[in-house]
Amino acid sequence: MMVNMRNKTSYSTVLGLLLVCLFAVCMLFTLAYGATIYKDISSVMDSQYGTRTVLSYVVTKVRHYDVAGSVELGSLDGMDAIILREEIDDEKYLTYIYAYDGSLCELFCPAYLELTLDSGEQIISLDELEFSLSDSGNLLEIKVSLGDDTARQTLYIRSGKAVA
Amino acid sequence: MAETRSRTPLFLIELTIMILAFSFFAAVGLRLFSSARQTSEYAGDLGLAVAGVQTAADIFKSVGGDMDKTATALSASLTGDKLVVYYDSAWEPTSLSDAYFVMTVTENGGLAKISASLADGGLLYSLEVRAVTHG
Repeated sequence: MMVNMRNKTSYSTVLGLLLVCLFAVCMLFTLAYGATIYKDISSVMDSQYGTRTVLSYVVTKVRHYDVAGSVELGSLDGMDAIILREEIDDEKYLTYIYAYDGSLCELFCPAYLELTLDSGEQIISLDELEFSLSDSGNLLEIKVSLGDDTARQTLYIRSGKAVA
Repeated sequence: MAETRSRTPLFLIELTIMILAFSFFAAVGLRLFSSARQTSEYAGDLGLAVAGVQTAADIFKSVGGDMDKTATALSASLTGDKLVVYYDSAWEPTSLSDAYFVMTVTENGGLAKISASLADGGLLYSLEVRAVTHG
């Protein structure tokens, strides 16, 4: 009778342990699955934030300045840049948009000043920023790279031909 | 003589209830995780589609609504008034067999409807654009 009771108790203990193990394994799988999904989402968000934000920023800037003769491709201190011209109180100003030191930079200054690349404001991180004009001169292609992600967009210069 | 009862069955019942509760909440959680992943993938695809469609719209406007020139600029094939371009998951032009996105441009009287959808059929983004010729 005593032996039978002991057998029953040890059977219950083993069953209990198995259930605890099952619980632990289920929890582990759930956590692992959750972590994988979090990593995926985070990677998509990073790539979107990086390249798309830069692209969106540059496109919005160019569209904002898209009046006759205001958009041109040039260089600042030897680095390719988009140059946006404007006039404030009869004074000419330039906005340079370029990539420098792993960042998208913007420099707003009077047209007569000659400044260096590090004078600009760093906006957001990027690896590469390329822009080119189509043969017709009214399509500006912008390409942005950050890590493995690359985004590009072509922009119609409504005000006419941009100056290369 | 007091009757002694083992507490093991109570413990087992408690464990079983715990596992059942955990399974229920884990199922709800995993469903939420999957839904979050799908939403995030959709957002990524939508971002590419919007940039691609805007590019096509700008090209269409830059050539004054000429579908042949739009097709050339987009490296696309033009069938009648409809232009179809296939892209891979990084929005690089590809063939029909490797397509992840499909973009179509249909023109009618100077008005173009540009749509980007997944190759398996889900529409992502679409807009209508009219080319204006100045002068």
